[in-house]
Amino acid sequence: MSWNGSASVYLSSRKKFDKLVDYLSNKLDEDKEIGQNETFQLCASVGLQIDKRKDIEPRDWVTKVSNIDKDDIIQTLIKLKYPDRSESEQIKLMAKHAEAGLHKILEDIEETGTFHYHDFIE
Amino acid sequence: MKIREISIRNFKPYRKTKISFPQKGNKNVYLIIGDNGKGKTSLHEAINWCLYGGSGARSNFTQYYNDKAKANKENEMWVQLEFNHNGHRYSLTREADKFNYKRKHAEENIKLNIDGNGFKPGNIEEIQEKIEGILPEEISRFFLFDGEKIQELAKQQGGQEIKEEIELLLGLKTLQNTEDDLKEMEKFYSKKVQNVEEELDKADEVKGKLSKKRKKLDELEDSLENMENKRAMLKETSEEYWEEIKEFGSDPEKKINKIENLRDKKDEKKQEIIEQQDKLRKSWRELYKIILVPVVENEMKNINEEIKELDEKITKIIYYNSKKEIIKNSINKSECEICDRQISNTEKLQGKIKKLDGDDSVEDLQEKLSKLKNMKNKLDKIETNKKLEPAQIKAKIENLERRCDEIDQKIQNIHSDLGASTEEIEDLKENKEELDEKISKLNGKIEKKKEDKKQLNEQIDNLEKELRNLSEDEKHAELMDKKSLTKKCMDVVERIRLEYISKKRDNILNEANRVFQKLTDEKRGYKGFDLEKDTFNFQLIDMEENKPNMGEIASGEKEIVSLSFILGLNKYAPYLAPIVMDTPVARLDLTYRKNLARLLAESEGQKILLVTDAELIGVKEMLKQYNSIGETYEIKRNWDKRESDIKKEKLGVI
Repeated sequence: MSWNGSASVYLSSRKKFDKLVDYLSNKLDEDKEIGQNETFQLCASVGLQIDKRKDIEPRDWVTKVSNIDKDDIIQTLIKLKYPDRSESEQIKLMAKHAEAGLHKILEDIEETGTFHYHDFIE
Repeated sequence: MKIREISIRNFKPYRKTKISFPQKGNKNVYLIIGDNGKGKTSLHEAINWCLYGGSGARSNFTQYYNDKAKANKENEMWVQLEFNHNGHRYSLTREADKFNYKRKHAEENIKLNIDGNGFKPGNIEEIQEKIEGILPEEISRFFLFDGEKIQELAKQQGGQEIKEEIELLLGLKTLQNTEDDLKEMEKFYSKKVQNVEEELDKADEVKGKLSKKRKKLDELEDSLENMENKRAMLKETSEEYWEEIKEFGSDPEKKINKIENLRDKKDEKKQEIIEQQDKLRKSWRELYKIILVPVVENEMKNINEEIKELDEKITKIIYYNSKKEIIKNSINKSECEICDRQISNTEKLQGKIKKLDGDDSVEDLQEKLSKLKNMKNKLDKIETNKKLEPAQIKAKIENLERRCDEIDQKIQNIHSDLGASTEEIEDLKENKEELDEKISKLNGKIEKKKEDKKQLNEQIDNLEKELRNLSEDEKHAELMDKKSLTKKCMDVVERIRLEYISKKRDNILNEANRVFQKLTDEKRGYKGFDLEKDTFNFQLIDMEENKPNMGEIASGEKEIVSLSFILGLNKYAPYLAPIVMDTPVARLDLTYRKNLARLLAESEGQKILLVTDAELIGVKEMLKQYNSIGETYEIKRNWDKRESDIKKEKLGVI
């Protein structure tokens, strides 16, 4: 059973999130820019992969559950990872993983100028 | 015309008769004597029939064909007239043929010999025409007349008939014919004028069309000229632009082409960039799935193990449940359900059942298994072998962008070489291309206009041809002249004719009055007679210039008037024909007869008098006195046979 689509998902920094969006959209024409949903999924995947969570303080960026993770992959992994948690807790945990992933990616970019995604693949 | 001989065969009472009229100087009066009923009128009719024919095949058979010949079916009837005219010898024979006794018909045939030669044999119409030319039938009553009827000339209201006959007699037929011809000509020209006027109307219509077409052609030519001028101007400007472009160095066209090629290349690169951007976007969007591959693989491993465990657990529980059921049944029956052995101690079995009872139900486990499988299906969507390299794609894009920059640089270099900015050259080129496009469009329009002009010229040619075939004003004027001239001629001829008639009338009247004076004497109380100018009616005038009512005067007086008129008329007639008088003096008293005989003896021309014995009293003496009798015949009548014959008078009979 899927999560309630109207539930909110938060991140701590809109600025940081936008920074990543800009990075990803680099070399893309305006009509092809990467959206927030795709960016959130990338952050969540990195957070899950490195198995890190980061608290969200303050809440600066918000979206609806229904806007993200259309294939229910991240949701499924969270449910598998935290089977005993409630739905809202699972959503918050997903957001925390995404927050951790966002910071990880931005750190990488800030340090090297590039997102070394290979580090998470190989 | 002078009759030489008359031969008759089976005509009325005459079976076969021949009479000769020898020409002996002034002896020009011939007497044929016969009392009433002997055949004078039949002889008169025979001459008439020979000259002019009868009134039809039926009357030929019933009126003229001799009774005895008819009874004998002799099929022969003819009258032959031999006469001299204008120095030629004529022999005219009219005969009846094709006798049809049943239908009582006898057709006519006519033969004419002139100086021994046949004239138009078989052509009855032409022969008759020839005879009419010698003595027209219409006026024959002034020459071949019946004395008993002659007074009818003086009847009231007979003038118009006389007038027409006089005109004919005086040879005015030609003038009348001319007048009629002129009337026909005038009608002809009127019709022609009408046709020409219709054509002129048509010509006006064609001229109108022509004028419109020419105006259209002028407009078209103006329009064409304007277009050609505009095209020339555009071409000039286009060439000026080209000259300007050429000023940017040698072979600028090649350089411009190179720029074009470079731009095309750049466009290709840009297209590749767009494609790579799509790949990059997809790559970023799918990257999270690749990053999650190890996580998913790990979770899949757990899920698979858990599913396996759950499957085993469920199988085991189902097995235990079956075992418990068997034990329960065996306890209830106190007999093993499998081997039928008696069970004495059920407590041990009850204990086994307790051991088999577990915490989980099959349903819970199956639900859990279903959830796991569902999650497994979702995670299966991640393709673990998928490779997307956004960095590589990004590098490709950067490389392509670099290529674009290089192309731009090359273009810029070429422009620098040309000595003009890209904008300037492009503006010039764009302007030239715009002009060339306009010229091209204009060429199409000019060609269309030229085609229209060609068609219009053809239409104008056709209309001009049509106009040439139609009458012109000159033709109309010429016809109007002709028509007017014809009318004038007609008026002149009519005037001449009327004047001629008037003059002739006066001459005839003078001569007739002279004859009248000779025929009458003062005792009779008449000064003379008049022929009324317009009506041509006879009018006696007494000594006191009074005009008595012609209806009330005596028959003898009327006959004198008529005879005076005929004799006066004959003097002026161009036809010199014999006068054949049938019983001319029956109503006249002795004085008149003597006067008439003297006049006949004195006058020129042949006179044949068909008279009774009684009429001869006083007449014959007078004629003898003047020695004017050419021959005297007597009509013999065989009353028994109802036949007549004519023989020369024996001397001393009368």
